[in-house]
Amino acid sequence: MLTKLFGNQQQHQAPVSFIRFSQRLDNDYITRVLTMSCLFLFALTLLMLPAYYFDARVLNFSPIWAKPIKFSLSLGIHFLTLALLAQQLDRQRRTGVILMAFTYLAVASMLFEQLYISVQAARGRASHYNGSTDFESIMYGLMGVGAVNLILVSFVLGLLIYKYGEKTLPGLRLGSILGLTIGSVLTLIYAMTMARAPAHSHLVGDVINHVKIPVVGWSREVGDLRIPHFIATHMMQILPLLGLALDKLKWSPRTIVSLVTIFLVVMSAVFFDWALAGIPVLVV
Amino acid sequence: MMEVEQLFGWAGQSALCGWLILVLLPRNKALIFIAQYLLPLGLSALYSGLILTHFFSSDGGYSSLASVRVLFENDAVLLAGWVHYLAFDLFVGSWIARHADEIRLSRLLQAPILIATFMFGPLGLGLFLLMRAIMTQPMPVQSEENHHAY
Repeated sequence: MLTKLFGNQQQHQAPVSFIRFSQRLDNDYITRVLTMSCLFLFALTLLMLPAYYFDARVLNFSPIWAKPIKFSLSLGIHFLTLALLAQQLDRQRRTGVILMAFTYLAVASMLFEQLYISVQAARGRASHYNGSTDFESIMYGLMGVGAVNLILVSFVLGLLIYKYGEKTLPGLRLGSILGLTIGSVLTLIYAMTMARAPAHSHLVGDVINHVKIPVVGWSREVGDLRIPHFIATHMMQILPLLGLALDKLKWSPRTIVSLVTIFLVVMSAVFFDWALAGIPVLVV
Repeated sequence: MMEVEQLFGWAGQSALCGWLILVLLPRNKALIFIAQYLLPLGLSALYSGLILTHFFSSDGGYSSLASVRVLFENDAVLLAGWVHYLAFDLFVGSWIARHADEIRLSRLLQAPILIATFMFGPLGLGLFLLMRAIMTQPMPVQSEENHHAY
């Protein structure tokens, strides 16, 4: 009885990551660094919320902390997605040199992007489209490089799953491959177009009233290039989840996942076209 | 006056050494000992000297923000307050580093947390506590695989 009660203290104990408890996540260094990047970003999100409520400053008609919070949340989701989908590779492949190189590149880029965006917000300065000083203009260029690194890792993971991934869950496999590769390529195209937008803004058109969709903050009166970017990037979550759901329902995933992929690609392309033409998705 | 500035410089430099150990150098017992115990102890000694000499001869106190301000009008007490930050932040940073190693948090991700602690103490501590709250549960050690903590 006593040993049962106090026995635990006799053993050497060490905290182990919660990933040990999850059947879905292995405990290798790649999974750990991806998962913990996600936790870092979610923790940062929580700590920026008080600033969001305290800080009355506004930049481009948005609360100044809205942008770093949106970035930390979505980057957190990105890294969690990578950690989960990488489980389709066996441990040897997952911890191999290819994924290791792209993972660490992405984690370093994430830290650079997130910290710069947060510090710029705290300073009351824009991070994107900011060429007002030499320093900010160089940093904006570096952020472009960082963004490419963040997309490269998901593209490479998609290819690795295609080549070496396990085939027990065909829907998850197909959704992961299509979501990661097509999602990455489209994100790159849309984001690069956005970065080079002649108006130096993600908005196309003359904004008068600043009417926005809540939470995401997309414009309801002019074209907004962030909408196709959003759809393209979140194909990386939608398609694997859809595939997994079809696997669980024991439906054949091939047709449905392919059709939804086409639908999302077309939808993002249409919204991209509208945004470039200055047309909002939801009119006021 | 000159002396206070000089002490400020020395205190800052010694704390910075501790932070460089935590952020950049490889983890070993002697280095962690320096950062977690030796330097904070030195800073505690400096703090004690300053605060015991000047606290009770000051008109200020801890009871209101206004009396804290009066307290800090004395440069020696102001320096003591700063040394308090340096000592506690470094000790907390070392604690974070050790626990981060235990849960095998990559040094790449430890760096921003430690730098946040160095710059804005509670912000870094909050980051680490929130992360750890989600990801750690006590479990018996299992001997397994490589030691790729870095």
